[in-house]
Amino acid sequence: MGTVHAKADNVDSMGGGIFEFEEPIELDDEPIPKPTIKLNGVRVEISRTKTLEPKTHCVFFCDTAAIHIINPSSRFGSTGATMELVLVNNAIFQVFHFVRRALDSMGCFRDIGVYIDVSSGPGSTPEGLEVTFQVKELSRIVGGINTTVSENEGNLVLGVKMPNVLGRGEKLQAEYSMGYRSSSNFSLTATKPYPHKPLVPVLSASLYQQNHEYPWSGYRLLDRGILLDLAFKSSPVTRHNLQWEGMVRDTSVLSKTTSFKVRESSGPQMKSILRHIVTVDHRDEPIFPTKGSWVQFTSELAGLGGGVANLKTELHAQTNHSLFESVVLQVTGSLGVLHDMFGTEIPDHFFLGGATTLRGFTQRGVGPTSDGQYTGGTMYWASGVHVYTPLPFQPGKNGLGSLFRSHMFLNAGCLALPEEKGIPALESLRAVRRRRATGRRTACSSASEPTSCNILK
Amino acid sequence: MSVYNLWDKEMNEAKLKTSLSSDWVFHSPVATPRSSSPPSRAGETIFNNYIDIIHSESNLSTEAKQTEPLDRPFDFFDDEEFAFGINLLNNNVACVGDNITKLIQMAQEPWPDNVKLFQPYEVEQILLPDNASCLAVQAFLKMCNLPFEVEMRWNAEFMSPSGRVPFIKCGAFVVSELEPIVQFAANKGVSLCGRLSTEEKAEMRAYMSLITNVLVNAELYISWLDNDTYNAVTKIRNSSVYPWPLGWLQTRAKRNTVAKRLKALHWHDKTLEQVLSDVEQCCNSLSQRLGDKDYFFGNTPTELDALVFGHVFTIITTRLPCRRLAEVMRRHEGLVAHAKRVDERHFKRP
Repeated sequence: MGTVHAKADNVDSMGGGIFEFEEPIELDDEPIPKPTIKLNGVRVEISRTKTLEPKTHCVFFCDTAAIHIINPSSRFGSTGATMELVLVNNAIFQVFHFVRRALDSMGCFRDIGVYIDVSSGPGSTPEGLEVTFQVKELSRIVGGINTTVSENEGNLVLGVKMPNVLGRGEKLQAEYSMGYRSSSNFSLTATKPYPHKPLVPVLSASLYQQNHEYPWSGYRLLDRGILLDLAFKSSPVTRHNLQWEGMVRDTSVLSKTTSFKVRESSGPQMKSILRHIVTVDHRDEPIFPTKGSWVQFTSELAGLGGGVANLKTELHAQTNHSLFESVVLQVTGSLGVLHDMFGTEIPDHFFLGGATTLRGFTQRGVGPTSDGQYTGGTMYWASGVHVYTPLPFQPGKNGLGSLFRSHMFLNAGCLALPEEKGIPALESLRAVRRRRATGRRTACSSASEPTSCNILK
Repeated sequence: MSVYNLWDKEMNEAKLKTSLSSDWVFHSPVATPRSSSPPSRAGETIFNNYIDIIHSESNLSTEAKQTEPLDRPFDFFDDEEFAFGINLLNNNVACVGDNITKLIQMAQEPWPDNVKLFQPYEVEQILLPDNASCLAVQAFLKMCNLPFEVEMRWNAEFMSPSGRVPFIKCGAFVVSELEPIVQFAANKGVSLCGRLSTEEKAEMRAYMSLITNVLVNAELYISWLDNDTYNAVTKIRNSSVYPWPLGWLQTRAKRNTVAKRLKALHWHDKTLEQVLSDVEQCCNSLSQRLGDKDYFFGNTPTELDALVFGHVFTIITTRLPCRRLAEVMRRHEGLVAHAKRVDERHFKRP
């Protein structure tokens, strides 16, 4: 770690009275905004900042929404920055947590340390604190091998990442994964964040090839495509993704016993999809939240080019409530509607059932079948009540044990494929309602089984 | 080691098995609907054979698996023919469901009325080699008087169990290409070559493989490797069912596959003249065999007639920039007359 100077050497030379650079940096962005942080009504003024390590520059600069880092030239090793914060209200730890999170989310640093001292020396204010953030930058190339278990199979994932390629948080990421069912996937993603722009947009482009086998539905998919994504935040908790995806999908018959209906939908198809995802997240943690709600709304339009045209809408919602200490009640619900214009085949359909959608049912095991193979549907609803509690007797309470929960759930859902096509939407909705009743019955039959208790990470 | 050897071991038992299976056929309509009653031994082995055929991913996987002695599901005249049939069905038959009763019923049931033949779109999509094989299968089914409906699908070749067109859907079974369909029909008791002697059958099979080796390859060569035809016809027709740029990608991929196949068969480096002289030779031997007869083997058609008709008729009626293949074919008046005869007698009947 580099030396930590608790004080600016030359207060007078600060650019705009706020920032000081050891070497002048040409920032071609807009003028640096006034460094004031507002955190839940707590105002923090930053009177000055200073970077350490003469060879490297890690400049923090702030706007009213967040703290961002621009790091034009630093490579390898540690860098740090000191700022003197004048706290209007006494909420300093909130600020540190906030800044640490902001630094963490850049994905360019590790070992983020915060050092706090009373401000002293020339130009110090009596109520000021000096805070030094010391960070270690990730090396130019980071590689990793890990294993994942998805709904289909276990995978071995080889990943190479180049964090901060051009010095402004740009990321280049390549992943290759092998599954035990001889499927291999790869993806190459380039990400460019714009942390200082309003709405904090992040632009990313990826190229991928995915190979999936669905023995429950009797087909195999080979997807090759491009995904362009623009993510931005319209409020601190509201995240939008605008995506365009162009792909060639090769559906092939998995085995000789595949149902003829599935066989009919095989062959290569091209699909161009415009997608908008909006997520509102009020939860305290993404994994094992204890309070707050989460809503995700996805709208998809396929058919601007390609041989498949459809409209797809999905809504997922979740709300969490702490019943009493560390026992969390979670209520989830989701809805989806697919409207086919032309060319929509079985791989486009919704599928319900399995650990990720409707736990307790077999994989894809809800909805229409053809010769024992699940062919999916165009409308669904699903809901669930979950109770998460710590493990019984709480082994390893503060260590590994805290990563596990016992989980009780009650799930219900219905997936329908209204046969009548081209009839008014109202009519098909009524059809769904009828099917809903049957869906509820299947749900009830499964709900009347003894509630399963799973342990999940 | 081949599948053939496995069957060979049971040659001495053949008589017993034939009697068993015929015995079983006789009783099957009564026995099969009750799935709780144990099926007869013959029924069980037939079922096992079917399961093996259906579950095998490829030819190779079956070789190691079959350790216990198996009965023969079909009535063939000798083991060689039987092995041949099994081999074909291995690749080209798919079936839905594992229900023993259903399977055995399906295998022995008479030909249903709702059989469909799937092929690519005739007007805008189908290519010369595919058209020839589709026409051959149609001719065979018409010669057998088996009812069927033609259904055209853009993705017929992807739906087919072997990846080639045409295929038929007969109940729960999906069978592709001419020879497996012939075997499949024979299993249901419909055969065109029942009266032929073993030698004649061997001869017929030899002619059929001559056509597969020469005419099919020549058609592939003309369609995919002859630049004029490829650019003017094949490229446009093959990509007609796909949106841009998928059509371009698919056509390129398919051309590479065909080129690979022809390379493996040493056809890739041939010039057009060599290809045409091969076709000429093939036609000569076919004409000689046909002679003045109405059909290749006497007065009634066989599957060889269906196959020859499919290719000859397609070649002489398809307009291509490369006219020379059709010209070679037209010089053999016997074959042209034969094609006309089949067309008149089997396709133009009300």
